[in-house]
Amino acid sequence: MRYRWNVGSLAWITHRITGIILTFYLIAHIFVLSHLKDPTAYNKIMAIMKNPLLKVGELILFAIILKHVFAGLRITLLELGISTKYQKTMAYIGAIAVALLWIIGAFYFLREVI
Amino acid sequence: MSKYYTFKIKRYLPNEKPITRWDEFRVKLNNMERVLDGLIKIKETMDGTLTFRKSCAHGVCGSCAMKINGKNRLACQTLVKDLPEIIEIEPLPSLPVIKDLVVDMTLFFQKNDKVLPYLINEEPPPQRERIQSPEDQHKILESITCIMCGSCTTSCPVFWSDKEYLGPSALLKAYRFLFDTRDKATEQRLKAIAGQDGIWRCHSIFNCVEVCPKEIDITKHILKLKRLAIKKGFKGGQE
Amino acid sequence: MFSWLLHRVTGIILLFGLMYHFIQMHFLGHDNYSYEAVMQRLADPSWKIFNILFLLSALFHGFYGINGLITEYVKGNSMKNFLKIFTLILPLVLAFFGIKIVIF
Repeated sequence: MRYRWNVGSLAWITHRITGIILTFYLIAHIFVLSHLKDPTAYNKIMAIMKNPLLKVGELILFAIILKHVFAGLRITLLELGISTKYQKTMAYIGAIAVALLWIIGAFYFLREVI
Repeated sequence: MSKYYTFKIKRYLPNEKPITRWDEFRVKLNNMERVLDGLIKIKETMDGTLTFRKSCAHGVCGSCAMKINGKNRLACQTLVKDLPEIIEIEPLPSLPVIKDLVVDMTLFFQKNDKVLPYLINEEPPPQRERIQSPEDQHKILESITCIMCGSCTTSCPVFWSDKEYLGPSALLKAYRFLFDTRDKATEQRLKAIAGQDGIWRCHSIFNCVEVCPKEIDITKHILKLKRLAIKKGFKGGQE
Repeated sequence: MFSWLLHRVTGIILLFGLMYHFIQMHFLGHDNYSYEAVMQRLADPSWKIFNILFLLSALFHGFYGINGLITEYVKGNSMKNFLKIFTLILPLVLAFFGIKIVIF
């Protein structure tokens, strides 16, 4: 079944997919962290995290988090009473904010490796 | 000024094999004519078995809602000159098809019944009508213009996957009575819509607003219902 | 209704929590997330409370979302009920492990 996409439904589907990814990441994150009580295990993980492939993964995850946060912010603002007239504008502003913050964040992430 | 259009229509013929197929028709239409005129021309001059609902043909009855070029709209309200040369027509999504473009709207009207679509006021009626001031009328004016064509509910991705969801049309109807100052059944109505299949399933996707032929901002109304439920919920302490 | 509201509230908590988390753990440089630095912060009770709140918010927020997905996409009542109970127990288990590491 094909149905025409629009700003609202695209925002919704990306919000959903990023949400699912983040929940699974959260499970893994808590699981890994709960095994890191002694310094050797901790430093071992931190050394693994220096791997460039995992750095790319971190950057993708950062983008997913930003996207989810701004999509959620838009929905919450609408629910708090911001007029639905601005729903599309808010989605566009959110997309710009995600892009800008991702570039700034990526700089900090990569500063350690380069 | 007239032009040839290709109508690609998704057929559903329960007595034939295969049951579904796409048919193409070339129709000459002028730029004052609508998709419905094209369908009538096809039925009258090319294929009499083509089935679709129509009634008033002026955007009031809501019978001819269908999916035209990937978007739900009224065939009688869509000018062919606003569409590309190839016009794809399908029945409303996610409802069972009876024949061609005719869908079974039973589920849609069942949802409507669930929100108690009638005035509830136990007070004895006054000698004449229950007066409503113009200001009070204005509060629900937008929601009253709904013609119940089903475009919104069948455009909602939540309704596509979860048939228990009340859907935008029924929730708009609930708004129409909840914000009617003459209606007294606020608690009863909130109970009907504030469950897990009601307002909390709306994720503000705005598909319903995009398709409404009466240009009702349905999401705005559902958001108001959410705020009302939260406000009343803390006072009444239900659930 | 309360769970819906809590979903929004935890969303806001996560917004600020994440900002703090990113600045501390990723943007301020290596000295801030070395083992010693993390342990030193963890010794502070207010940091512990922040972390537990952050953890519980994240779990509630994530699993409320998953619960909604189950409501909308899973067909069949027994499967639905099984998954709903599962997504109720799993965050509780995760909360237990998470709190354990923060406190001890």
